[in-house]
Amino acid sequence: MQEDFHYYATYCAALLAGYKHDEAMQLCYSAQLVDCCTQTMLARTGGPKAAATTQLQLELADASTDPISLQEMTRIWASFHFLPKDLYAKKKRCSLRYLNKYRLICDVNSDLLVDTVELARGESLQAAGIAMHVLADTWAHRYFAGTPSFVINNASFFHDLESGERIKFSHNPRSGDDTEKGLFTNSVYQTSENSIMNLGHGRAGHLPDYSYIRYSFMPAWGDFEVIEKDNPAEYYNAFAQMVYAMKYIRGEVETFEKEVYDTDSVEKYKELIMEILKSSPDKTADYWKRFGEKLSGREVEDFEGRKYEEEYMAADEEGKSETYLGRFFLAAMRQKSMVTSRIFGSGNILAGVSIDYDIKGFKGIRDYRHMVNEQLKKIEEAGNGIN
Amino acid sequence: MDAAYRKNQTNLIFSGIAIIAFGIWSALKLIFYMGTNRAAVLMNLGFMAADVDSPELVINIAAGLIIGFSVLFHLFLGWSAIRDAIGKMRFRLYIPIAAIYGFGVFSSYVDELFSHRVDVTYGTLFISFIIDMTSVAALVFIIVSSKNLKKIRREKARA
Amino acid sequence: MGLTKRVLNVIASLIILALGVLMLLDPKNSYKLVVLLLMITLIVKGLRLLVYYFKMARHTVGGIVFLYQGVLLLDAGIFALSLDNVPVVYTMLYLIVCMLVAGGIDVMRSNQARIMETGKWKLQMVYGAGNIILSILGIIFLFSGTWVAIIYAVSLLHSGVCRMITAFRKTAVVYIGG
Repeated sequence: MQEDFHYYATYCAALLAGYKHDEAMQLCYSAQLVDCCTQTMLARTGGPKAAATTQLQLELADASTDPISLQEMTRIWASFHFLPKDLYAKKKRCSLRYLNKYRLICDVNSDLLVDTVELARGESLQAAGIAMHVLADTWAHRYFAGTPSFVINNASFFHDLESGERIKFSHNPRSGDDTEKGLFTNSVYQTSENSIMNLGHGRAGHLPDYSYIRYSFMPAWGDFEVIEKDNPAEYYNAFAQMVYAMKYIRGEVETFEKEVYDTDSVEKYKELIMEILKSSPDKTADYWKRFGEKLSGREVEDFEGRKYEEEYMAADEEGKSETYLGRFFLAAMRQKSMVTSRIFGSGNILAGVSIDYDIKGFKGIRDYRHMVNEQLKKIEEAGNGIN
Repeated sequence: MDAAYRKNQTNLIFSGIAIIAFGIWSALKLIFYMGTNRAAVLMNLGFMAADVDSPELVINIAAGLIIGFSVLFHLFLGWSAIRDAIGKMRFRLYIPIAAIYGFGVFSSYVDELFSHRVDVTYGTLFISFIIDMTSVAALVFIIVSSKNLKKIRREKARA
Repeated sequence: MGLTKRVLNVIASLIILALGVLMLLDPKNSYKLVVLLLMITLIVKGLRLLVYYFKMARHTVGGIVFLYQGVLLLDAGIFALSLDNVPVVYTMLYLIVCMLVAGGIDVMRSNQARIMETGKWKLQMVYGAGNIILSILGIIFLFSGTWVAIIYAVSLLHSGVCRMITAFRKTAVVYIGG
């Protein structure tokens, strides 16, 4: 998904979930920031490198295909953009290597999604924003995996369901997509298993991120079955599920369950939302913004990527975790840690190794010590509260 | 049914291309060998011992024709498979030809392997074994996929 | 990367560097070694493709192509090994094609990086240009076994250095459980 949904639509959903304007602004900013928090940005601000939630195309291009780089890539993309559906999925007569990649295929309503939303409950608005980004992306990026893999992520046979025409792609990233003329770009066909061209939905280009499009395609893992993607309907479900999830995070709802969507809160706006979703990609952001301003009666600021950087850079070491970005980095590391631990716990080494701090003590990346200390502080404070 | 159709169609196309590629590659190998071990190649192609040592142009042309025919034969099989996959083949004559050819290649290997003949060089046999057996496998894929496609097309026509 | 893998990588890169240096010291007599190494590379590539097919690609749409590619490469390697004497021109042509492709890709990617204004494009451009220059030299000295050895030796040295760098890269693998 793109800024129109991660920022503006998340703002609207936050309002419908009961957040106030200022809270919703912080939340949706965090949701969009997940698509901006790269190693480059972290190097610029002095933030912890382990908090990276995405990678620039050039960072990917520079990354090698050795196991460490691949694990790093998988940690980021599987944790924030391609949350795996079933870490214990079975497939007949296949090798462990294939199965490990197959198990990272993203889909909606997974156990990991429940874990993600539960992790954000009672935490900062930044954590809620990250959870909403992850939730929304499970709808858009279904059927692709957050690890480079030709045998999983290659896709072909794209057809527009409206016109029935075959969708043709060009590979020139500078030309961009022209949705009016039906011209799209995608990554180059590369048979190397671990090539970055085979990461995520690269082979489908930006089709999964356009809310208006309905198309069909044949994923490499699907045994020649064709999958139909109705983006408007799925984005609508994503929106309704976000409202429900945010109500749970706020404490209005006791449990977060799979396959539950707050259609009651969203029903009266359904027609308008579907109209927005079906509109041209260059207009959807504007329409969502106007909808949000109508809901809140306040002006919705446009997303500005470096808004909180100065605050973070100016703060001293002690004060950094109280800044907006400091909270965001912490929440990002918690999310990444949780997903990595689940993947590793299922016997899958693709996202790297994870150890239990309680059993083995602190080991690993220095950045995570800060996260562990914060968790210990919280436990201590909770303990003092009880006493 | 659609998935099965696509699967068989893809297998038929790729196996057809493979047969063409194997045919061209085998011919290239023979041509390369002619440069270094002409006598052995000519013996393999069925020339008489007396002719083998002869440098005559006629022998070379004859050898070239045999190699050329082999390439064309593979091209025929492969191209027919591709045309069958895209539904442009009315009479699937290539299927029995492919079956006979595949059986011939396979049985000649079995014969050489168990013949215990003094002149059989197992090293040479092994070298050509890989590609020839894969050719046989490709032919089997072609026959099976073509049969499956025919069945699916018939069912679609009925429905 | 575990310690064992690092050690193996260092050993492999030392062997590759040693071979490269050896070839540069006596290129005239290194032609047969080059041919042997190239053929082994082809065989290994073919085997790897076959293993990839059986372990991974047979479950994927159109995966059968890997089986056929693997068999062709394997057969090409075995065939070349069986020849008494591979003509220099064939070996040189093979090297030229490999270097042109690798060099071309490096130049294109570094150009993209240059357009996006990141500082890391220069080194890749140098590698790419180096490969292209080597392939041009190959075209000029198409029939020279000595130049085959020199060109191959330079590519071995590059590969050895890259492998050594990878072996010493910082590992950042271990995470805290959630």
